[in-house]
Amino acid sequence: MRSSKHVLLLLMMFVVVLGSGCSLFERTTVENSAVVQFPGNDQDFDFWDTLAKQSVVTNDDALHGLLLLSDGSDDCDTYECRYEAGVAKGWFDGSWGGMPPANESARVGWVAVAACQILKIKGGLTMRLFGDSPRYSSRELTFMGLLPSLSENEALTGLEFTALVDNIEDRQRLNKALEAREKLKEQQKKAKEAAEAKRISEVLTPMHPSPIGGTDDSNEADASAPDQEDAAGSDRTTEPS
Amino acid sequence: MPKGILDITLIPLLVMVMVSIGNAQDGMVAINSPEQLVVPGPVTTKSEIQNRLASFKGAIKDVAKPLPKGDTRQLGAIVMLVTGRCQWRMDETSSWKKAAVNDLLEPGAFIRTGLRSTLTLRCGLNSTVLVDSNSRVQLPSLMQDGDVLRTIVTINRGRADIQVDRVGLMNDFSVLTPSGSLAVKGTGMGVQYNGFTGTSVVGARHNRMNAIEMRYFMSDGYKWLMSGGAVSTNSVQNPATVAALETQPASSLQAYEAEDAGAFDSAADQALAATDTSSITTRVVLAQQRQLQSETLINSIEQDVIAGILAEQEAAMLAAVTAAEIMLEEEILEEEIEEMIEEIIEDENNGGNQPPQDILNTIGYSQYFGQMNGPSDQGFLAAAMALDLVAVQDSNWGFPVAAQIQVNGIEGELLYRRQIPLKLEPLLHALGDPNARTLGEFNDDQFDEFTGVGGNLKAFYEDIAAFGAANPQWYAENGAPPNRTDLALMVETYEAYLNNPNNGSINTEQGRIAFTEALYVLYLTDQFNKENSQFTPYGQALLQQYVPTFPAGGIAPPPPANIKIDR
Repeated sequence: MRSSKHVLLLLMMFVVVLGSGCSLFERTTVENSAVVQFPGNDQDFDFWDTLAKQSVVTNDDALHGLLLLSDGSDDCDTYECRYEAGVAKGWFDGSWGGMPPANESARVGWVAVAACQILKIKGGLTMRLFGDSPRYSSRELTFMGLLPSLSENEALTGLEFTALVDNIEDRQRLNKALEAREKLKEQQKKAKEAAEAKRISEVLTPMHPSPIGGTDDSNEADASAPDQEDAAGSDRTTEPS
Repeated sequence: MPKGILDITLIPLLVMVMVSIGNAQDGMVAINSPEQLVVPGPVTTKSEIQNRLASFKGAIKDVAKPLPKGDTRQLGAIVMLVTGRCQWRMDETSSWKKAAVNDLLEPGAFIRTGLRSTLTLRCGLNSTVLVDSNSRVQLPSLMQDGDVLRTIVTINRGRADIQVDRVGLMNDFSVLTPSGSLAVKGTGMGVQYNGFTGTSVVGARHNRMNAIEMRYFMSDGYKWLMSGGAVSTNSVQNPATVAALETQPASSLQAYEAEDAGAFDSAADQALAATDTSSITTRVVLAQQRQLQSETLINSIEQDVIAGILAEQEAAMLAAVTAAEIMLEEEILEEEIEEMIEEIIEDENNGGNQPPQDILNTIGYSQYFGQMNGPSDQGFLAAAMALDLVAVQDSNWGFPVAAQIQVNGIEGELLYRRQIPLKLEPLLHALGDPNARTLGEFNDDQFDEFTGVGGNLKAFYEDIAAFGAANPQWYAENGAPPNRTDLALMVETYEAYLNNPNNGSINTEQGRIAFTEALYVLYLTDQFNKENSQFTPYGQALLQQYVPTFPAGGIAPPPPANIKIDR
């Protein structure tokens, strides 16, 4: 019994040593990625075109693309600046280990957190209780159909990242449409209530402000002696001269 | 203002259209040239829209004709709407160019859109393509081959919505993606290609594309004018014109369209109804305008009706108020007259008299009358009083009343009437009434003729008898029985007697009690239980003999001994 435990421990140590020696746990890196080639705001077309052809999306690429999506522009010149901007937006909530390498493949986890932040997704019970986490944010996006069933540690190809960005944009359009519809309903409801109130007030008001056949004379008479001229004005209404 | 094709405000527009047609028959006008005729102003009226569509309709019929077999011609695509940042280029070697409305793209053009950007273009004669955001699209082929319109759209990334119209020619529309090719067989579809799902087909946003088409053709920026047999200028074809109206489609199976077809009042209307996608959108727009006008008209009519109703109500209220005022004045006058009459009556009655119904409840009377067993007994007591006091032969009475009464329950007992004076006068005498006799002055062995009685008291007796004579219905079969009011009037007579100053200083309350004490000869009251109160045998005998409506009563118990005059 004791010997078997020792064998198991040795095997685990062997795997760890072998994995680290053979870069088994290292993430893919991309040199001269899309954002390195086209970092400017006016180069976004080329950035996306180049990114779509990349085998993986680096952290720098993902941050640049997400900043373009959320803010419409990326004013940072360095990866550190982009990372700080992402941290300020809460995109790295739940991630640990500090700033990931710029040219390393981006994990689906923090990209999902960023997507949830952009879309203001509150999530399910776990997300509401424990906040945005890479694991549950990616699961939430999967549930919403914005992301395939991927674990939080996986990487995305350039084309997949582009698809995710498109899905986020579609969702934003849907949210806007839903908001617009709610506002329209509220406006219609208010307009209907206002029209009904106006209608009721006009029906219940005994002296209509603009009766048929009303003349300027009647208004002047009403203004001069309202108490006495009410009856006279009514006479004119019923028996026009 | 009349609405329709004959609207007078459209005459200048029609003249301009006619002039342009004439010019176009002579020679085509180049795009953006000074000679180009621009339809002025935005399209805001129904008739203007109809005119434009009608002109498009006539023009497109000619351009969509099939070519001879084997002949081909190249078509183009025109940009109808750009939102956000969109670019296009003619081929792979050309530089990218910012897209703008009315840009004409030739086959082989590349299109790319940025984030939150879309580009809509009319491709060839029969299709509209909406390129979604962050997409890359190419138009490899746009041509007419004989009677076939061949169109190929390549989607390298992103999404494009495609709407293919029927223009009378065969449609051969293909969509290519990096992972497949599709043929559009129906009216359209949305095709997208991305890294997650590859190629996928989604529903096309037809409404959006229809709206874009209509906005393009009806907007102020529209610079294309069709004339004669052309849909374009001589320099550049404008295939986008076809999007406004298609050539004659097949007969519709839609009920509402068939219904519309029977209601055409002009060629423009017919042209309008004969179109499909764009005209349906136009129909919606026009229907909305018509609905708005109808609502406005209905609101106006409603306001008028309400104003009329209010005016009528106002007049009715005024008349009612006037009538009410008149009635009120009459009522006030009547009340004043009644008050005056009442005052006169009160004056005549020496004022301060209580109503007859209330005197039975006054102090001195209430102790007795309040214990009587119901108002019917009180009425019969009035009749018994009259029968007790009337003379044997009274000329006012229609029948003689026997001097002696056989009292029930007492064999052989004959009792002379006028028992009330026998009981009343000694009491009044004791109270100081000079009109009343003492007990010794009465003779029990004969009928009392009121000998020695004072004039006032005798007058009281006679008044009671006269009251009984005035009510002969009491003694008639099925006649009305006496009631409480009759008793009150009789008591009122006694009250008048008491108030006579010639009767000495009789205390009113004591005089009343003396009267009620005398009435015990007729009616016995039980102060503890009113239900036990009843007529005495003498009172019952009087009533049973002369009042038919009096029900038979039992024999009265002995009179209570504890009643004293000073209580």
